[in-house]
Amino acid sequence: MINLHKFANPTRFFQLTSVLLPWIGLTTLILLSYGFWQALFVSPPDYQMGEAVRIMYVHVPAAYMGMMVYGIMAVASAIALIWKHPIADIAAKSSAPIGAGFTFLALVTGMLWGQPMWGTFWVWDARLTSVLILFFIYLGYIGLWVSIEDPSRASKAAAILALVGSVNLPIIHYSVDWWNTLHQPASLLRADGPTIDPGMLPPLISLIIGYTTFYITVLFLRMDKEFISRKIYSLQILRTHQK
Amino acid sequence: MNTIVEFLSMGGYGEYIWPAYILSIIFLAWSFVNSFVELRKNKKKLQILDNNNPRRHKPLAFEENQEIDT
Repeated sequence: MINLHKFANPTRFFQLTSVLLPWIGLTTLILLSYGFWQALFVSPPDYQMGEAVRIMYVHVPAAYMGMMVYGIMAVASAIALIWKHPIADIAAKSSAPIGAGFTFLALVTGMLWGQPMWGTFWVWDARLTSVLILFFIYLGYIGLWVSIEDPSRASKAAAILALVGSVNLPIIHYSVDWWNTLHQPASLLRADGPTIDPGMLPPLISLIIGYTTFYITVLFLRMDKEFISRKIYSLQILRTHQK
Repeated sequence: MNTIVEFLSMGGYGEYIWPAYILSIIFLAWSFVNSFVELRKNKKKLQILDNNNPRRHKPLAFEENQEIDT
């Protein structure tokens, strides 16, 4: 069981992240380079959709990350709300723009895939609509942090939104089973295992993992930045009172 | 030359595939660079604040190691 309390100490936490950061960054670079090379040059075309299948290699990882980051944000929000864990709060706030970006990427690459495949950029089916809602929840979450002046009030409001919005995650995942959707059903996370061509797995898996390590890299950078921002804010208030 | 054109056209789907990849790579690159630059800016700002007003008292509670009260 990870001792959360040890990492509640910000100084210790950021000492750890600065040691890990170059390694996670390097891993990310290797995975992304390999993944993109496989995706564009090595992997086979699909027997039904031809080369258009290559959009899958950027669409699926982005969609996974949009949801995974939200899950992490929700868990971090719960930890911040219940135990007032300072790092958890910073983690949630720092994650949001990254997750929103991935979700936006998933939507746009999905549209670019939909047009040649379905003949339409958009359809209001359950999968697409619930992912769009996820994107709006991200924006609302970021908006709360930006608009509420007092950081501790902002933190609480944002945490509650994150937790309430997390009901959207299982809806997104099961939307293709529960409703009649244009978006295809799951071909990776399935009870009987993946159903896609094995030649498509190397780019898909390496980009999913690469996007994840990328998120961790950028998250650590943003968390450090946020922690220093709060230090600066406190110091400025202190200096004003000292004068 | 022909094979390059063929490769870029991606079986006719190039106009969809390349924007998807270019957008993805721009997003990844920009996120990383932006986060890195913002962190460096903040570190500099903190250094300036610390240098301008060197503390004559010992570090305050929030700057020191904190333990959570359970």
